[in-house]
Amino acid sequence: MPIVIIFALIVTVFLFAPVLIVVPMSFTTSQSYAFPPPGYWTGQYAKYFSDPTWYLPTINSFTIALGTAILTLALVIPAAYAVVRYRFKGRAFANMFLITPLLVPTIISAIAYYKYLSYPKLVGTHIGVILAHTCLATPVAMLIMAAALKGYDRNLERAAMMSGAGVLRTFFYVTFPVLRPGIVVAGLFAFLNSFDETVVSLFIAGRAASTLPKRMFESIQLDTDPVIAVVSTMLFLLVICMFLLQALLRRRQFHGS
Amino acid sequence: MTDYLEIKSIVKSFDGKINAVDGVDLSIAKGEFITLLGPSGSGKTTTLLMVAGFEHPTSGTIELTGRDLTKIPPYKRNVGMVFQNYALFPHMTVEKNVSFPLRMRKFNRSEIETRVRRILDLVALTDHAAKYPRQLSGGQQQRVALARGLVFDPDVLLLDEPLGALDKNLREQMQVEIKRIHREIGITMVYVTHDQTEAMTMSDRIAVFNKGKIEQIDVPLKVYREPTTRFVGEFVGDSNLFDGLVKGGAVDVTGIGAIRPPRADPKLEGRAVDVLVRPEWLRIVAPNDRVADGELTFEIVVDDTINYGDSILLFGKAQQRSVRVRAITSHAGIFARGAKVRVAIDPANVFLIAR
Repeated sequence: MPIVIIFALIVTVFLFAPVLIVVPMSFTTSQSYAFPPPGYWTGQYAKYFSDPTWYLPTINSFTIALGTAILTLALVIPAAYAVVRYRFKGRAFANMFLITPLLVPTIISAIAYYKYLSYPKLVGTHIGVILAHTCLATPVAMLIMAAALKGYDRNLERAAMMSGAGVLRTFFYVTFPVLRPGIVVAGLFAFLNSFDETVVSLFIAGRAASTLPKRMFESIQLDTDPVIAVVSTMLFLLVICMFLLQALLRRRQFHGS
Repeated sequence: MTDYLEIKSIVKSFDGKINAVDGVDLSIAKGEFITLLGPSGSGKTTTLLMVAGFEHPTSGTIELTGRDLTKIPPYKRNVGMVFQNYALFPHMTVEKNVSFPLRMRKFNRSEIETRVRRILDLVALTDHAAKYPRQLSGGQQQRVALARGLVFDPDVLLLDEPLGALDKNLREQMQVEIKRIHREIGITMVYVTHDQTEAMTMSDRIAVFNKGKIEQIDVPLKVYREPTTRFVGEFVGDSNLFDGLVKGGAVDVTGIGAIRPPRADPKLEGRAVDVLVRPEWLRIVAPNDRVADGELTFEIVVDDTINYGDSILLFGKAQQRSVRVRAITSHAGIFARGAKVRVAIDPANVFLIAR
């Protein structure tokens, strides 16, 4: 038992170590990656919020991730429903087909999307990136939704119908609220997957739809700007906030008013 | 009694080859408690789902108070349903679960309040109105499901093995509870179960299903005492079924002897029959006991006994044929394995089933 605890501690330290470097570095007075920082100030933060080459990609990333999450859910909820609930010709194929983006190396997908999206002139647009990210997020979101639906008691829908709710009201009053945890997880996954995606974005985001990871990659490649530590710190804070929010929601769900 | 719910020769096939429900006819009177009893796969649940509207009959019709239900979707049928796993909405309180059918039917607020209060009172859950289903016991959850199924005054309440998930004591309590509710509000109930005790204790009539067909529909005692087929005799209650041959109004029970049942059907004359003798219809004859005229006595060798406290069940053999005898403990004495026991059959307690 103590060995397990020691092991857990080692893993935690290992995972947490970068944070211990990155957070102090975001407050550095240096203009490069010097560590430990020679002095501390908040100038790097001011720079991040005033430089459009940093804050515009951030806004792009949020817009694209949100669009990806919505589009992925709009595709995956009905698709998972069809595949889990109904027996139809080509069901096994449909199930497989929706998982295939997982099997292709991302770099291959990126080149393919670049070629494909150039025909309708969507390269370098938000919609183009959203479409590509949706393809990438669909397999896992699909697996999450299918698992949620499999655990969903069909008699709940029947009970709603016997209570006089038609197909739509059954979905909104019963199916959706009961499946909400699964939907939230699938949507969150699609959001984070898109927010974090670099390879495809490098190919198709261009300048107008440039995303934060793309900008970070360029920053690392071209200069040694400590602003990247600011971005990392804020992403870290974002993740902590999301985690707390989710824990809070769960607590409310389980304890009820 | 006028026919209220009328199921007319419905057939349901899922694959186009085998009929899960194979020509079922059933007339149910208003206010009746009818049980569809049968083993799993006998078509009883499929029949219920067709009344609910979740399965569509391949052919045949279902009429409720004269209107054809088959083309009406489930949410417009005005039929209530209670499921085996309760199927309560986990994200709604007891009160919200119960008011759901009323809200879907656009009842006004004060009407909803009155009805919910009345029905929660009926199922004795008033104190739990604000709780979530997961905070309730299995029995309480099933009472919520009952309340939800009843609150909108449906024309019929369908119950699909509603007590299957409960333990034995709770099941018996709920049987009494459901019967009480049936009595108090006089609603027509169609109850599906594979538990023959449940069917016996609760129903006005029992429809025994086997392989997609109804083998017998009758009041419980009749189904028990006078089953029309061998299947019914075996499925409902404990039974001894002997081979017999009817000759001159008497039946020659193979390996045991001849007996003359007073109400033997003349149509059975000269035919081979199954002779049904319930274990409790057999009487253990003590050495000094008198045997009445017309009684058939024979000897069995005891294989085993089960002591239930109030009664014993004795497993024995007569001429290689298994025989079960149920006797009240005080009359039974102790029977060791291998002991020889004389038993008697009263001719009134013999029922002949045509083959």
